Amino acid sequence: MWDHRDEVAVAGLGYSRLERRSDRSLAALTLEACDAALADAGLRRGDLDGIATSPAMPRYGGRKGVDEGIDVVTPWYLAGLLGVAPAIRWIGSTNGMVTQSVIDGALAISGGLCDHVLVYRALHVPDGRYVNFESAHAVGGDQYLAPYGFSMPPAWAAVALRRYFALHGYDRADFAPYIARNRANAQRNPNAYWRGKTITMEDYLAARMIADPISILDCDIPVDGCCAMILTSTQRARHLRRPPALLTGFAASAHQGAGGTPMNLEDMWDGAKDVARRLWEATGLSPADVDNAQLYDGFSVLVLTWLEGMGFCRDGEGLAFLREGHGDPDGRLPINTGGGALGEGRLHGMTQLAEAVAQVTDRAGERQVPGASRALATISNGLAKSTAFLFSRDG
Amino acid sequence: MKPMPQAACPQRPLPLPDPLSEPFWAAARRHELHMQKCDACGWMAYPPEVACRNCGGAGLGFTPLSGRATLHSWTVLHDPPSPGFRDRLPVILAVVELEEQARLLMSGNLVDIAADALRIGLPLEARFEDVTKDCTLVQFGPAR
Ligand SMILES: [Zn+2]
Repeated sequence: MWDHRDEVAVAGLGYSRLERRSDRSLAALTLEACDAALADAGLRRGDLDGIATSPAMPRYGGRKGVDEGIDVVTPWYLAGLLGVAPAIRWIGSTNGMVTQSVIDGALAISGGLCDHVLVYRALHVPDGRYVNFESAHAVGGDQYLAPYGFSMPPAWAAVALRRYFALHGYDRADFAPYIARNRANAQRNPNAYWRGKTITMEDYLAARMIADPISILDCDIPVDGCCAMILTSTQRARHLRRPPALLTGFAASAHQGAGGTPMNLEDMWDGAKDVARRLWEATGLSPADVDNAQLYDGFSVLVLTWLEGMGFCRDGEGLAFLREGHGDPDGRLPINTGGGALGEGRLHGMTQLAEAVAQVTDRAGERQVPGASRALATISNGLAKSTAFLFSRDG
Repeated sequence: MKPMPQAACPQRPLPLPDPLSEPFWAAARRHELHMQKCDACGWMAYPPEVACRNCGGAGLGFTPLSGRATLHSWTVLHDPPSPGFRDRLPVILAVVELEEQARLLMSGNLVDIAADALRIGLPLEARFEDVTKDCTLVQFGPAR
């Protein structure tokens, strides 16, 4: 088990408004989210002494900007904008996902490097198509994919979902109930981009195909916006405004799997199982202890591989579990209770972390799972920079 | 119909070989499928890497493969993934498993087959598409 189990906590959460294309700069949206997280914790900017993120803008062939404040917000820049640069003693900036920053920040606190860490993820929607391969030449890893038109992540997810359907005898109609009910969950999430817009199973079956069988409704929507959280020691958090969400443990994996395709179904399962084994070792817990699961859903298929990989269902049984409503708010294991990234917008895992924190601190409002004491968050696809976190109620 | 002017129908992105990948693309130009094989453990790798992902060994040569494969999965694109695909729709993207090693996967396009005839496990073989005098892509079609 992790030596510092339950000793680090999330003390505050904050969101900017999530918009498709905002009139405000990414820097302004980031400040909005960070100030909201500080206010939620009952802290001031001057209390911060650590700051961490993964600032990178995802690139898939197209030319995407790296302008500070517009396309990216690095922790050094943000510390200046917040007016706290002289007080910042620890800075984390990772090429992993922002969830790696949560691990780094927790270790910085448990290691005594700093007291209050701001972890944030700011994401910008560039002009034009989000996924576009404009170059005439494909270099590096792209040379094995882009010449065939295989340059976009929805197509990578599509081959995994196709194989899942084919191996286990499902089709999109089996996924429709979950997709529609997940959107219903987003209606109870004030931060959700898709709040105010429900969908039916028929909408899902008629949705525009991006890469068959991945439709537009199987992909999270890129947004301009930011989500931030404040990490501190559990001891300090107990004196702050909100009840702390205790970080019971976390796990990561460097599983890469077969080359030749970015998302191979069997490797997504294998990577998720690596993460699962390490999480249950770190926490001393098991799937039976989890009250709600926030499973990464940048693409719908990932909910299935996490549900199975973490040990809630056997391989191939996850979709039946969802179809029968066992992942509903009143089901055996409420899943993505705020609508996940499919309902909230693309925040690269902050959605799952924030919802897990909200659930174990009774601040999920009308989507609260009554008495939820342990919440799981899993992030990524089991392969690229995957992580999982177990948050617990205090006391 | 008059041919489209070049500017309106750009080329698909073409691979830019590097020292690691040149033997693979050179073999493709000869209409052969070659892959890296680890001297130490025999593990075959695609794409080529600087070290063996199975054992860490650095002795990696290229070896010819049969080109025989089975269909692992696929997707069909109706929108062009980049401008050079505008006149090639729908694009069938396939992931194939080569017969020489489990999970030795490769992505490509399927040729000479309709999307509704596809099923996992379908026997396939490599086909070589000469795009320019310097570039041949490895594609897959039904086994003959
Ligand atoms: Zn080897």
